[in-house]
Amino acid sequence: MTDPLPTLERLPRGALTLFRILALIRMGLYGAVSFGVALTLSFAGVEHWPFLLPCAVVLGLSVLTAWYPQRAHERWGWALREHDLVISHGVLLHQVVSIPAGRIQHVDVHQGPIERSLGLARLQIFTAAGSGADGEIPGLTRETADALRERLVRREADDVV
Amino acid sequence: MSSEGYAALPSTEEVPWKRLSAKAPLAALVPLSATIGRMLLTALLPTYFAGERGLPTVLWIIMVGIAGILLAAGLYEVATLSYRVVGAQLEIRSGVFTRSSRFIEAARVQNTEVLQPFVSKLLGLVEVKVETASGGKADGHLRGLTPEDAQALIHALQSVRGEGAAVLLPGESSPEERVLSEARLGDLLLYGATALGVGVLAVVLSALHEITETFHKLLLPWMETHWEVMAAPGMGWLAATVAALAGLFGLWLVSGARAVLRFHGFRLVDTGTHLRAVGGLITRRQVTVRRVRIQQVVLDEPLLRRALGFGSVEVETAGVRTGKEASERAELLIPVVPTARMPELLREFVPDLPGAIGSLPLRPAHPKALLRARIRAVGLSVLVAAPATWFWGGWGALAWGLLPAQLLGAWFDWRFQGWFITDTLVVVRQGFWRRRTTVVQRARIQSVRARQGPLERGYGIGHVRIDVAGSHVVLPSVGWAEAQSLIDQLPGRRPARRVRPVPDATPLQQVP
Repeated sequence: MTDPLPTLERLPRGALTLFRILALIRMGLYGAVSFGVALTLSFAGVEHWPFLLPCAVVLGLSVLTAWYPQRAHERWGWALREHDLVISHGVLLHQVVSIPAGRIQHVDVHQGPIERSLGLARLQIFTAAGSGADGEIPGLTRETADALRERLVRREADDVV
Repeated sequence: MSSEGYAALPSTEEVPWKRLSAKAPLAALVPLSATIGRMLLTALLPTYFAGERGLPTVLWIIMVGIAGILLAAGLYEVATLSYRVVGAQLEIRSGVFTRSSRFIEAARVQNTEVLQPFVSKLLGLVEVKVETASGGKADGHLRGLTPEDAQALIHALQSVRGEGAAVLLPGESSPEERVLSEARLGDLLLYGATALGVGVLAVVLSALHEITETFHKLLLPWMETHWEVMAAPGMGWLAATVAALAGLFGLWLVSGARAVLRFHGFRLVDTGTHLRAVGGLITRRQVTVRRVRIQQVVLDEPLLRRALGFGSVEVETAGVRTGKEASERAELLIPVVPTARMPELLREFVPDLPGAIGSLPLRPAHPKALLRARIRAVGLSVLVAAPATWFWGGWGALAWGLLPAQLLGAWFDWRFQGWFITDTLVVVRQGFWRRRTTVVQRARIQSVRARQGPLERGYGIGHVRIDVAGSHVVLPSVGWAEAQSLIDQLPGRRPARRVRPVPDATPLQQVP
């Protein structure tokens, strides 16, 4: 059977840097929390093993940080077609979303401090389906995000709610 | 914009504002107090644990003060609220110092609800809720309207949309309308007895706890005088059986009472363009759903109800409601529908359905989905039984009896699910113990996603989730390639029309 998905646009190289920075921040955060737990346990009288906990957490997350961002970057892709926007992503849980063009209610472009410093942006697509974003593409260049947003919002929405 | 026609409207520069009834704050007092009470309940919990000492006086003063301010603010909003239908919109304005206005486009209204709680009934007033697809609660909630004003408001909203259905209030009926379903008291008691939710369980357990606490002191002398009989072999089992039966009976009573309170005198009628349901013992509730706004219909048939020859039907529009149970989230729930009448009723809501649900050639789930379901069943059983055996030894080992039960359940759930696609509809059937058949209008689909977890990847399968406004349904497992092609096929295709050209749009090229 041929691949039913269209040819997908991939994220720029900068997105990989973004994913790696985010993974490092996550590692630092979880490491700090586990260190806090170890400290509490040692004050509570548990002597030897508590500090193995942050070591194990940091070690595990280091392996994950080295492996996961590259894989996630390879998995992200999107395609804007005449009738819909297709987004594909996910390393462990692989997901392909199709959002019909006429159903898009609004589109948001977000830029956090790290994304701003890398010249990247996150595009969020909302339909009437739920409270959160139905589709999200992180790590787009600002120009691509703006152009994509412009294309999406200029399509007239069918009143299918 | 909507394709629905608009009636010619007068130029309405100076459309007068309508006020709620002068008795509206009085009618709002009880529901507002209840809402504030629920909010402060968490803060009151420490009092229970503080025992006889209770909370410090200063905390009581602060809490009562906060409750008073919240209540006054709510009543102030009700007293100052005014509304009008101007142009194609319902405009609601409240506040004097800080004035807020809300505009609800009539064409966007999903459904309207007219309620008559007990206090409002005494005062001769009603409440009107106007729901759109935008949030978790009604966008327009007018408490304390006179029945005539409520009628005029709904009629004005319908006129703007070019619809001429007769507007009736709870308790009224029109000779032209067609009755689709009615529920008798016996049916409702049966419905309640077969709907044992977690909420009911919590209520009954709390009640049992309170009863035990209350009667403990009274029972103790009797137990002491009959101690030898009480301590006889087998009495423990007898007491446990009696307690279990009493608990079950209590559950049935509470559940039945809840069903009667919610649906007493239930009646669903068809007005042509709308479906209107009326019911409720203390709070009389009337829900009006526009036929064109129906997103999906669900037939809910748990095993016990199937055996008794009935099920429930849930009709969903894009109005977003909150609730733990799917039946609480549905905009319209028909509690008791005889199994034989289900195809006929379903055709009323979904005329495009090619045949009776039972005769549709549903496609089964992918064969490998059974392996996945079995692995999940084994995992779940081990998670429960292993710790139980560790902590309680021989008695705990009884929990391994879960394993065959779970495996059997997995097979039943896999075997009795299926899906079917027509030109306009998607039909999905899931569950054996609690069979739910969902019919989705393809033209209403908001997004479709194909998902594949690590376990599914090993078997080359995936599943597809269809989102419509306010709800979603998951198809049974299919091959991964088919799941990916379904996201393309499922949405009812409507070619996107461009409003205006985009001459200056930046080309969509990725920066390497």
